[in-house]
Amino acid sequence: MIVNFDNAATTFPKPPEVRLAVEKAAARYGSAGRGGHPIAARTSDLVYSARETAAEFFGAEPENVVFTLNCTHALNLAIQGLAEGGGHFVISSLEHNSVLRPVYALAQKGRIRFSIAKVHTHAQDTVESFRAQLRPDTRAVICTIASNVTGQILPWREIGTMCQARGICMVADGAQACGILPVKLTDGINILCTAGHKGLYGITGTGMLITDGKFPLLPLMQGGTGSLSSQPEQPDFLPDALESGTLNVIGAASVKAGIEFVQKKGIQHLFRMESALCELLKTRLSAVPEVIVYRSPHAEYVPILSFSIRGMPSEETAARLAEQGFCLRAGMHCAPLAHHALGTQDGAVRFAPSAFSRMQDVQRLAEAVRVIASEKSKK
Amino acid sequence: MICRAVMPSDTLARKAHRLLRARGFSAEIVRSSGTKEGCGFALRIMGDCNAARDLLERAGIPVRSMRNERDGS
Repeated sequence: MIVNFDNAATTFPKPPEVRLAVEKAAARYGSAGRGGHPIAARTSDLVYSARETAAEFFGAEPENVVFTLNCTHALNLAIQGLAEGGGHFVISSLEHNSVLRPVYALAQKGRIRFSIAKVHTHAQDTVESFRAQLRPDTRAVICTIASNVTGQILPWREIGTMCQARGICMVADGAQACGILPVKLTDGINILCTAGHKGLYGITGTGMLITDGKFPLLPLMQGGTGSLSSQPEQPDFLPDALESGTLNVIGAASVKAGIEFVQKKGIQHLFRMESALCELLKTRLSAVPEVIVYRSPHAEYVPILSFSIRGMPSEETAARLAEQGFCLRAGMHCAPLAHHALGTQDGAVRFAPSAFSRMQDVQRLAEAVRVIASEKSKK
Repeated sequence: MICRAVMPSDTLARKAHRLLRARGFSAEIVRSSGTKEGCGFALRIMGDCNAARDLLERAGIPVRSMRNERDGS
């Protein structure tokens, strides 16, 4: 039996409601925001409805919900769009490559400068760390809400408040937080970037940039928007400014159904249920001397738990678990900064449950890890 | 009287449409062409433009142009 514990990459399986929405969208909808015929009209209505659902969920206006390919796309829209004005950016020491790489590339070209704020286990220390990196020319703080490696939750509201007081744009990476934490733009976030296919249970190929509109972004690409068609200039209003080309309508339908699934289940319920599974695994693995669990009693976490077996490469551990049907992600998780901070340059094994994870499977996983670790220690 | 409101985009046309319908206006989204900006979307609102304009302005929904038309025009 295959059991997926790699839900931080993409949630699998998808809820029946999402699968049904995808099937219906493929059968019923065409292109949105273009023609006036019945298929176009009903498709446009569906897409607007998806924007409304996301806007209500995150506390935004529907037109400020921009559909993207994924969270990386949304983050690049934000980072590169803001970089037009140059200046200084601050990122955290736990950022994914979707933040580090565009920021690094811009800095290499001399278009921006950037600093890295160290994340501590104590939230207040992290806030002070960000504060210490701010300069008079700091234009943006780009900060993950929760690490995709350890699940550590950053004090995003406090960092957002600090940014608002100084007129600095706060860009939040909500990839591991949206759908499991009550993230809202009113938390001091100007631009929220998220995947649609993780905690929001949409299909792959979906993401969103959600903005309060206070920091206009220049687009990464220009093209057809279905608006101002006679003019050679890209429209400057949202979402058209940042949504060129035919939209992923089926994806938008899936994200709408996914958010409704999360709302029906309840964010708090999902957080508690999945956190309990992490706690169970942590307790079991902590009792195995050969296993290192990467958690601190002083920090807060979303339901992600990373661990490793002493002397065993993380990829080998994951491969051994995969032989038994357990799907966990090993390696660097596209987050070398976080692994460097953690001291796990060879990577770790990441456990990430979802709404469909079961306690008995976590118990079986814990036992499988114990056996692998025990065998390793005897060699 | 019918009011024709040319909207910046499909998204804003739908936002305005939702609001107008919620406030008791009868309105529909139609294609807008023949403007110098090119094709886009407009609202056909049953009634005078003044009331609809006030409502959309208060909601912060931008409108490209608005004019009253006769019924059946």
